[in-house]
Formats: sequence, structure tokens, C-alpha cells
Amino acid sequence: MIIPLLFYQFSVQEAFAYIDPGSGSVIIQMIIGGLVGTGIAIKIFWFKIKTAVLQSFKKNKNNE
Amino acid sequence: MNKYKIESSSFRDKSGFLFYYKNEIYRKIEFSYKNQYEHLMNSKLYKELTENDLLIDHEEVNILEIENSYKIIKPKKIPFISYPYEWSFSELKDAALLTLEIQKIAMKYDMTLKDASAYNVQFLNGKPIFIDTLSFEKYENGQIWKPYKQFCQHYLAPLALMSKKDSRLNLLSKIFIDGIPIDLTAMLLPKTTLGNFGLMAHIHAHAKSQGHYEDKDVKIKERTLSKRSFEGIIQSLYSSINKMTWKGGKTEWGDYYSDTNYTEKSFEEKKNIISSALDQIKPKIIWDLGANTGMFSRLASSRGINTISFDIDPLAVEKNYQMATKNNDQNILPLILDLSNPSSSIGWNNDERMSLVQRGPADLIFALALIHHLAISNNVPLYKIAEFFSKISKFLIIEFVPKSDSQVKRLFLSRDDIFDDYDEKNFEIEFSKFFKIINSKKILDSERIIYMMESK
Repeated sequence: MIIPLLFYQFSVQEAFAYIDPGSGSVIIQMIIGGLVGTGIAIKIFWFKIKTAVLQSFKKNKNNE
Repeated sequence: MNKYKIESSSFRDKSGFLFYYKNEIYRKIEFSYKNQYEHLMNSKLYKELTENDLLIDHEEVNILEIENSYKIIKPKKIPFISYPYEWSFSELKDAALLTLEIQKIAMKYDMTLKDASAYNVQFLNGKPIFIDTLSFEKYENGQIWKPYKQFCQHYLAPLALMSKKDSRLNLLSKIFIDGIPIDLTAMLLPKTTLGNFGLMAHIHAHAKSQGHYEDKDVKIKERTLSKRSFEGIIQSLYSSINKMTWKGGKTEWGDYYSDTNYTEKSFEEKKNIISSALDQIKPKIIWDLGANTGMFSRLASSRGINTISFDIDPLAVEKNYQMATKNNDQNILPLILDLSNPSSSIGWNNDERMSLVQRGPADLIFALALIHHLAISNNVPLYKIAEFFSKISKFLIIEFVPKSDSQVKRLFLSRDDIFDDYDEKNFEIEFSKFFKIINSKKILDSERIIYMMESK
């Protein structure tokens, strides 16, 4: 009982330094992180599409 | 024998501690922090941050032997230590954005902040600067942003409350030393903030999540966050705070300068009296008590004198800071202070954050158009005011405002005059118990007198 508890404490300390990130705060950070991360991915994706479309338009114009 | 005194607020982080030795401040770095420190210094992160005045400069020194120390560094000195509960909205906002900016730069060098306490920031040359050299650690792929909760409590919560509810709510940071609890912030904020993505996510949903997981056994060590999400969190906090604006409005003393009984000529004379006193005393540090928006503080700061410009009114302090930032005035630091209850020493052992008195004495204090507020509005006897002023400064420039003055008459509109001893003669008698009156001058076209005094 004591050994796993000690091991758990050690591993948490090693991972999270000296301030407590708080369980609820970690979970919400992951949810928000997921949302904004996806948002950024969509923005990048959209930018790539936009650039590709604009470039193809430019090419067409040059060809004309 | 090596006698050094550990700074009483420096005990939470095991990477090192601050200490005083021969009136200078130093930081001891433990061997456990060696790899992180070397990465900070060798990766050029330190160089980029210090060159841009984002992180305090330090030099490595070899002044004394302390057991098990990897290194001792000497950081640049901060002339006056201030605390987040003394900052105006924009001061706290600038400190928050500085912290996030540092986090963004650190990521370029594969480092991250391990804490984001508002007490890691101080003001130097008119700008916020990060002072904890040991707050950096290597970024591990998949890790969460460890100081997320601390950042929300120390910065986002007070800024949201000041911006969306009431500017005085920053004072809650005095009671909650590790930042304003998220659930309390969510309760105090208006419901309309639910429509603001940043506040809905980082405050309202955050509070719900904390409540939900409070009594649940969650193994957070197993949780990972992609680098894109990690950076998304920082960016989301940055844009939420960057968009926030000061919820101002008219307060009691905000319009003071346009509402005095001074003529233009007497105002100029008051400035001249103070300017010549400054040239005579040649102080290095001035505390301007009841400074309003800092008009007289600027007489000192423009002479290169370090000037702490205190006022009780958050609006006046905010205006003062915005003006200082706009004019790049590096010698003025506007702070919120209620003189009837000045900042006390708080935190663990009542010893983590210094009281106002502990941060003194100043070379000179200004108490201009202030005495009637203390003696009449706040019922403090004249000798007690003199006693306090003599404790916090060597020299004093004080303006006596008699009962015949319209500003004092205004105070009596709603209360009885129980102040028989409030006159020029008694003022001089009581202040002479603690000060030597060097000179005094009646201001032209007014009933007011300015005194220059030196504490006994």
C-alpha cells in the first residue's frame, strides 16, 4: 500500500515540479487546448487552400 | 563567518533561493537546477530575453561559500518592490502579457515557464520585467502548461473582474495570496461574460471543471497535450487579455485638477516652490502620497528622481500609468494605496510580502492637498499623521489646507465639524514634535501653505 503511494507521489513530483496544476484545471486545459488547437489547424488548412486557389487563379491569368 | 539572510518569500521553489548579503541581493542556484540553467544560458534564450528587457539581467558571482550551491548569481537591483494588488488595470495587464510573451519566446528555445506567479514580475524603468531567473525548464513534448491554473488566478481573474465588473476588485489579490479563486471569479463576473470565448473557457468552464474533479481521483501524469494545443492555450490567453479594456468611469478624485480652487498663477507658484525644494534636498527616492494623476510626481521624475506615485483612486493611478507609458517616463511608478490602511506584510508567517513601511524610508515624501483627507475625512489626529510621515521619510513637503478652503468646506457638507484643533497653529505644533520645519510659504491667491520639513 505504502510503496505504490510513494511511487505515485514521486512520479507526480517529477512531472509537475513544485506547483500543483490542479486536476480540474488540467482537464479543462486539455479541452480548451483541443478546441483552439483544432481551430488553428483549420485556419492553417484554410490558408493553404486559399493560397492554392489564389495561385491557380494567378496562373490562369498569366496563361491568358 | 558568512552571514547571509534568506529572503522570506523565497522558499517554494527548490531550484534555489534569494538571499541578502552585505545589503545586496543574490540568488543561489541548486545543483538540481544545473541542466535547466545551462540550457537557459547556452540556448541564447537568456540573451534574447535580457536584450529586450523582458527578463532581469544577472551576473554570476563568487562572493561566498554556501553549502551545495551550483552557482550564485547577482540580479540587477529593483529600486522599489511593488505587488500586484497595488497595480492598476494596465500595469497588471502589461505584466500578464509580458509573462505570456516570455512563454512564447521560451518555446523557440524548447523551454517553458514552470510557474507564472504575478509576484515574478516587478517594474523597472517604467516597464514590467520578469525577475525569476529560475522559472524556466525544458519543454517536454506532450506536456501540459503547468502554470495554467496559477496564471488564471494571478492574472486572468483579477483582470476580468476589473474589466467587466469593478476596478476595485483587484484588491481581492491581497486576501487570496495565490490568486483569486476561479469559482469565485466566475460567480462575481456578469453573466454576459459567458458570451466571451476566452472568459467562458478559461474562467466559467474552468470553474465547472475544478468543481467536477475536486473529489475525483484523476491521474494527471498520464494526460498529454500536443504542442499545437499547448501553443493554442497561450495564444488564447494572450488574445483574451489583450482585448480587455479598462472599465473606467468617473471616480471621486479623477477630475481633481480641473476642479480645484487654484488659479493658474497659484498653481504655477506651487510647482515652483516644490521644484526649488527638490533642488535643495536632492532626494534619490520620493514617495508622492495622494498623487492623483501624478502632476507633481512629474516634477520629480523629470529630474531623474525615482518617484513612487501613490493614490487611493484606481482611475487616477490608471491615468497616471497610461500617461507615463505614453511619455516613456522611466522614473515614475504609479501605485494604488489606501493610506488609511497601507499595504501590510502578508503571506506565510506574515512575512512574504512587505508592508509599505518595510519598503521605506523614502528620502522625501510629498503630502500635497492630502492633510484634510487624513485629518478630517479619516479622523486621524495631526500628531499621528506627523508620526507616520516621520517613520516613512527623512524629508517632507506638505501642504496645509485650512478650514476656510473650499475643498475642506466641501468635506463638512455632510458631517459635523468636531475638529477644533485643525488649524495652522496646531498643525505646526504637532508636526514640530517629529519634524524640524525648514521653511514655509503661503501660496499666492489661496489660503494654503506649503512646508518643507526634516524629520528629527
